[in-house]
Amino acid sequence: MTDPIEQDDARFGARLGATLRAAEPLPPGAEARLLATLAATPRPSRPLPWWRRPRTLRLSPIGGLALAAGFAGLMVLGTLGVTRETAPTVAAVAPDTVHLVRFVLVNPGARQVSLAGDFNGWQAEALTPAASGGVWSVALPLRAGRYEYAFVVDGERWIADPALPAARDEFGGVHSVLHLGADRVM
Amino acid sequence: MTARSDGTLVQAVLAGDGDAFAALVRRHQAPMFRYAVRMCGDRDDADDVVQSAFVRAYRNLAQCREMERFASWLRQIVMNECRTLLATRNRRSRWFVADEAVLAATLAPAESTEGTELGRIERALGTLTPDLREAFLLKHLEELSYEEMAELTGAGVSALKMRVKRACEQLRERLEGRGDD
Repeated sequence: MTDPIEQDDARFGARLGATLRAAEPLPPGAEARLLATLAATPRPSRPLPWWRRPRTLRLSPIGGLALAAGFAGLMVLGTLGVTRETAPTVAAVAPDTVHLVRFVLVNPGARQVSLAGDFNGWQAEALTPAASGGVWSVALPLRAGRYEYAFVVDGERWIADPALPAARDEFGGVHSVLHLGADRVM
Repeated sequence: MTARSDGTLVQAVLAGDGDAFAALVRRHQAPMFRYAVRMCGDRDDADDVVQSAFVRAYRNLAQCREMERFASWLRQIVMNECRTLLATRNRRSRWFVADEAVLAATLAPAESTEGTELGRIERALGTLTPDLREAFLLKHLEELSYEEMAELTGAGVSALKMRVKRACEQLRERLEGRGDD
């Protein structure tokens, strides 16, 4: 810093800051009151990914056949290796079943890349590196819906998917929003 | 015994150990309260802000993605609560308070700081706009880098530098120029 005005401001601000950092005792009973409020608040927990949540599935014979056909289609598409380099890629199966979505990040400098989103309870899931070119990817089965996610580079840097518009959540995190329709990414 | 890190405590809470959050409260409540007092200019409001922020943090803990940076995440929630409170207070002031003296009194420091250096600085801080006050406090109270401030506020580094500069100018004018009355 060479600007004399900036130096003056820095010294002035530091002097005020030192005074402002004087201890500010909590109001009497503030900690106990907060802990009592928290005790009455439902405990937070990691949300389970949707495929691990318990649910009841009722199937008619025709529905069962349709579902079986859907999974068969999914397996076929999986073996075809549907990929694109920059945007989440969707392999459409059948409406209201599942989509195989491939998340791809090109980052040659990364040592490790993971994917975290509301579909996996924000628990980072490792992406597989391609043999060369710094391409990292993972394919996940997802139902139609709205998903938020981000890539985690080298275990510490969270970045939005460069292929989709970034959004900032109310807690300051940057993430991407994926709208997965019946047959496409929106 | 080594104190458990924030990240370890957050993981413990999410794994079902509700008591672990009490340790986070004991560790962070006082510094968050100090920031909120300086930002809101009122101890009761600051207490409300911090209580509300901790409850929001607890409810949404699963969204704390970088667990070791829990303090930064919590600070952001406190900042948002402060902004909401100040905006609400400002609207109420416009509706119900036409008397400048009454309005100034709501931003007056706690009684115990009257006549002290801290009281004079708090009174001067209370005359800044919330944006300038927030930027000044993050820089000179919390001692954050401009990059950290940008991450917290969503504003650009150059805009934040300008806010801090203006805050210093206005504070200097009130404290050293024509006095603080």
